[in-house]
Amino acid sequence: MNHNPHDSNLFGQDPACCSRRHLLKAASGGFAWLAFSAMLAGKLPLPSYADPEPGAAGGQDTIPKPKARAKRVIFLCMQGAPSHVDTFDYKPTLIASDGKSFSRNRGRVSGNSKLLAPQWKFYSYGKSGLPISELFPNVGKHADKLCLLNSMSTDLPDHGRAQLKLHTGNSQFIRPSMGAWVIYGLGSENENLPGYITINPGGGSQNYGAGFLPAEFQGMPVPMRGRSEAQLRYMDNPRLKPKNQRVQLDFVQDLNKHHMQQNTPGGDQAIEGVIKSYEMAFRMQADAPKLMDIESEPQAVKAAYGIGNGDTDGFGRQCLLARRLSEAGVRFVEVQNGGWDHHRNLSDALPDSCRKIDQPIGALLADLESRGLLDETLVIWGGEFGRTPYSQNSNGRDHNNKGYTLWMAGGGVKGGMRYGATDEVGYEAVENKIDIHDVHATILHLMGIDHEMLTYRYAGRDFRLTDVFGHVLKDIVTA
Amino acid sequence: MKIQPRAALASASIILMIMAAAAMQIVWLPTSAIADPDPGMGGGMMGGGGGGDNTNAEPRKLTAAEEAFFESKIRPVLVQNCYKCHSSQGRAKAGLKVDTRAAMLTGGDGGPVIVPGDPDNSMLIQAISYANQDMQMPPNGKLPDAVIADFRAWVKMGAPDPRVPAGSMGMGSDSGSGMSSPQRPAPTNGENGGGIGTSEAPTEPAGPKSDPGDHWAFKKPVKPAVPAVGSPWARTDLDRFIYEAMAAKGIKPVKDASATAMLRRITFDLTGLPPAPEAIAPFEAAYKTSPEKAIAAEVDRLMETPQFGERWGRHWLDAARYAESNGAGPQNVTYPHAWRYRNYVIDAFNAGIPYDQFIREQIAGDIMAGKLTDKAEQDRLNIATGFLAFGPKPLKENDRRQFYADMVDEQIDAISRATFGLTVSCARCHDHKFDPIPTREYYAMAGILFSTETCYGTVANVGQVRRAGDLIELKALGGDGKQLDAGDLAKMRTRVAEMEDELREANRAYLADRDNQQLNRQRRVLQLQISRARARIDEYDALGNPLAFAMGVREGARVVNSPILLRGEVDQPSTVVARGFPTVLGVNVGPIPPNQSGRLQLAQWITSPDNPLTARVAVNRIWYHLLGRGIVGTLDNFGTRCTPPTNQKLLDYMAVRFQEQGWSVKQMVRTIMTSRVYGLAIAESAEGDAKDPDNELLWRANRRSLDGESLRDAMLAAADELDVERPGGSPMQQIGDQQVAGQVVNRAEQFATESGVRSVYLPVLRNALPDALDLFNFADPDAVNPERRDTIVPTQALYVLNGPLPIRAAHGTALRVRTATQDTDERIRLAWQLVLSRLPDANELARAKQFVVEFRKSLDDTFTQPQRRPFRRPGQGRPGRFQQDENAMSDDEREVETWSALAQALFASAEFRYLD
Repeated sequence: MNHNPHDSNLFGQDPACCSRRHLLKAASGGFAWLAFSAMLAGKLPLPSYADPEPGAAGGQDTIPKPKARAKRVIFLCMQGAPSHVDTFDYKPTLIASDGKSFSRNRGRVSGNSKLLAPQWKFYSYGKSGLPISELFPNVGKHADKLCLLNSMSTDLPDHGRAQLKLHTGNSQFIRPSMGAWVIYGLGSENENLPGYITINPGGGSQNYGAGFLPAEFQGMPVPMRGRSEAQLRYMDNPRLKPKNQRVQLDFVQDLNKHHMQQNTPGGDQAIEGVIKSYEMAFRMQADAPKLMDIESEPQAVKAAYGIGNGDTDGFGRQCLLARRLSEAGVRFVEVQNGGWDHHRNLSDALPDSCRKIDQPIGALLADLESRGLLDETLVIWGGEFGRTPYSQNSNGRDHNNKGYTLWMAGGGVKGGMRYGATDEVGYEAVENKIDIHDVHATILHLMGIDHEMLTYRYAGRDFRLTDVFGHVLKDIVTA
Repeated sequence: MKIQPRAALASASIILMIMAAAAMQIVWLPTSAIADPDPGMGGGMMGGGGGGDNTNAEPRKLTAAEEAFFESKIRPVLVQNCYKCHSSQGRAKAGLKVDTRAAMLTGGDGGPVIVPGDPDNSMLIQAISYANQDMQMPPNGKLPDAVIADFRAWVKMGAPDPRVPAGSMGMGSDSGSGMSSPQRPAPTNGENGGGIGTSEAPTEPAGPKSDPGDHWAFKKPVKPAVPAVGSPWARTDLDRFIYEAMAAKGIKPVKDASATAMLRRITFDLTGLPPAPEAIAPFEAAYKTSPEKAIAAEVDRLMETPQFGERWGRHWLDAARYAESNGAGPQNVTYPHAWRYRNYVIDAFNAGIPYDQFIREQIAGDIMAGKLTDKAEQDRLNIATGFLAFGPKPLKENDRRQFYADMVDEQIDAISRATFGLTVSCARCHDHKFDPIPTREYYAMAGILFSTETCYGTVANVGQVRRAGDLIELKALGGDGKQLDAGDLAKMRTRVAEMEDELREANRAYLADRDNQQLNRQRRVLQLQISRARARIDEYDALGNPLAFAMGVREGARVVNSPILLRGEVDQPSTVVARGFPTVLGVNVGPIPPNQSGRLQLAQWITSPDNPLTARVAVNRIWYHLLGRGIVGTLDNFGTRCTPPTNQKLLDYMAVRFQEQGWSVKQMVRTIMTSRVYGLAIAESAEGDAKDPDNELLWRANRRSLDGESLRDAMLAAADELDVERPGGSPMQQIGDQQVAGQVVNRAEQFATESGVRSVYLPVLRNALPDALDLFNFADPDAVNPERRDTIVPTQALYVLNGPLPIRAAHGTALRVRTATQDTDERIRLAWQLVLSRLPDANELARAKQFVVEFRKSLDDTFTQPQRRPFRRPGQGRPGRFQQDENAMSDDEREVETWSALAQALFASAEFRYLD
């Protein structure tokens, strides 16, 4: 190792100083730099990037910026692809066509496919009369807040890649996840918590990864790991006090900066990531244990989420935790729920899956509303694709990437509406087709970010969450 | 000649398909007519030509984004709305076809319908926009605005379109637009429509975009000539390939790594452990004299330690999705015998078993063992087949056929991705979307595994298991249980019989009163007790000798060929296909004998010198483990969707050399580690940063993070608490058949925290990994996962700051340092050597001394002196327990805590976490 004997004043630098050069270099284009500069300053007014310095983005100093409607996102991610035709995509023709052969001759649909009617009734809920399956009575109570995106479609009917696409906009390359983009653009509202937390994550770390964005933007997982409850462990030291740890950490960070100076004075994402992760960890020790402790909630609240009840306990805890984190300023909270891959035994397994989440989600929406948070919190529900209107294994449904449903609520989204439509049996999106990029563009739009302007320069070009795609679904956004 | 690719596909022979595709290629080539589109027609080329020219001047690869855009937004619309009237299969109304790019550029009676780069002047856009009253398409209704916008965007992009096959993979975007290609042969067949139409029109556009059989990785690697460049920098042939690629971009490699960085790199890479402190000075001296010799000597030395197998065996275990439990929720039950396979792998790497043989053993070890007389060797080979047995399975599946279909699918997935790097199981429900693997070839391979019995153990009724399996009984090894006599066994059998009677009774009672949950519980408890008791009896031979078991496979009772299951559905059997292998790789190992499953032939097929993939996949992974990135980034997928190789010549050179050297992993590791490129420093270079910011060409070293195992082992090593001896078995063996929950998870965690065994011997429970591994990106054992991700999240920092293992190791290191010397400077130097394998520089030493003072002061400020209150008052905690006042700390403890904090700070440093 080449030690420089003349760097004796190295220690005691401003923590941001070592990385500034690198960040400048990495993020020299457009708004990226602004997001960074705000972050480096430690505080980020909302919406951060909406006040560009004149000329900062190559002379585009009069860009119309979307109004920030949502401050935070809670994404309820259903892994395994829930059936849309049995839940949120009401298809009277399909209901009337049970057992009829499905003759559209395309791709995987070959042989003698038979349509399978939903086995559950749909009811009109709310003033809007939104049709929702009886499997979701509690979510149904909030129909007037829901915007059903009935015309979703995605590239591939393969869970892993479709999940990647859903989270990162790309199923092939390692790209930053949408949560990472959001906090890269807007920073964190609470400096003592990561801006992006993913509860009970599944499907690999890439789904909450930072890709080429700096490591500090990756989602922090709160795993279940063979336990009944998602937990953060190791939140306090059995012997040392925070004051002692601060002295220790100052020492660590000085060593880190020194080390970086030795080899890569221009900065190093890995070392900077380690530095930031330790600072965040230290700050989290103050707030996170209290936040993670959902037992402190009133019994009535816990009961409303279904905590203590076998079916709903798990997801109820996760939803309540999500609300607590979101309320505390975590910008992007994802809650994962698995088990939706109903190739078989749909008649039993789907109601089971729905029962586990219906009450907790209903409670979450009600809770956010009663706290006055729903207007500024965008809640998104959905999986990586949908399922076929025709049967598989007689009592199941196969993967279907051609048409499915996500829904949104709160956060500047119009309620009580269906947007887009699949064909008469729910097989394929035909009206106002939406793809993942459109969803991403819309999420960013709702948060006050123009998806075409949020860029990061990597490997010689400016990247976006939406790549070269994405249309904001203007029709679903409130005035 | 009328070519019908669909028929060719159905006829089973991929060879035929390739021939058909090759023939179609000629048909599909653009005609010379498009070289000179009539500028007077259809809005002409005015203005738009330029854009089109620019985007199409050279045939180029479509980017993934372009292809995805076309496939998701353009093609489906064309197929659905246009093909009926405007395709080769359809009627080609107005002379127009839109089913190839060339046809669109040629256009119909009205001239070209697209002008790449210029939507406004593209007739197609005008038509679908309903801009012109006389030409509105599709005629039965305007497309949604979003779709029209997509088409505009697409034309603006230059209308990238993969539908025209050109000479090689990825050349889908043909030069078409007016750039005539005189070197191309003119179409030889006037009836050029037939081939196109039959492949496109009737179904979903799944037709080949270009011939996937031409994919580089499907061709046998040929050893390329070593470039005569790079001296004096290049040390080995590998360096010359690297240098050539760098030189082509005008980049120079950075300096070599320092001696200390190099020693740490080598030692961790070969053993997963830090260098011994006493090894540092001699290596530095040797490195100064000759880096080359110093590295070679150290590599040779470390490669012969047992730790080599523990490190490199673990790499394979990632690919093999090794685990000691089944995973999958309530079906997550322990695999108490899986650990034998882990030890087999480690031993195989240490023994230098050739990689091809190693693969064959895991797929057909039981068959290879058949001819042997050496019982220990037979056991070893049987254990090897555990590879096929410990995958995750739907153990609670009711439907037997479904269970087997899913299990076999998982096996196919594991075999194909772990060994030859293809995603064969994508072809279970439909022909592979991207690679030339038809569904029938999937079922050809499935037949081999349907003719195999998989012995994975587990006990019925434990954790909802319905489909318990057998185990392989070992011959040379005895079990660990105690010896029983015939009387004990008889007693156990009698007890089972009694319980079976009780169960019959309980079942009757329950059937009479089905709402009685009490009765239901009773019979469930009995069921569980019976299956456990039976399993216990099975652990002994008739004489009461304890037996030893392994997971593995054996030839099935019947040899079967599998029917194709339509859409993968078990109740939709179709044509039966003979057992066999994917044909695209062109490997022939002869027919599968009618009385054998075909696993032996499968093993030979995978490791045949003609197989273009297996050696490449292997050397690519070795490269990845040593350089931090694969030459092909997708370590388990070399199909057409793999990331393109960053240096194919180098990859092929190594693949051929690997085989020439008898598939020796050690040799290949040595070859790479003694290369110059392996020994580069982590340093900056303005030109490198500018021209290759991703460091694809390896002009510098990548900063690689240590995996969780290395971090844990290194912490324990610093504290001198690492036990380098292999422990017997696994804690899961002692725990036995259990559901993975509660106590089982806690015991695994506790073992990781409290034992000193190397991390490779920690229990690998699916969905319940010990934190020391899980938080630091352990390979998810649910599936083949040869790559370790690198995340940096606060939960890792919290573990190092507050977790019991780092605290324990820091404490141990502190005691070691404190015992060694009284001198503060010496203590600091020793701590640095133990944790970071180097001495601190002057600045670091000064800063550390400052820390020791500051930290001690902070303890003095925050803690009181302990009072003499050793016992809790009545009612507060258990009597007799020494009460620790959490706000008090003795002077001696303060001293230890200070050094402990210093060691822990080094554990927390970025330098410790990464290999420089």
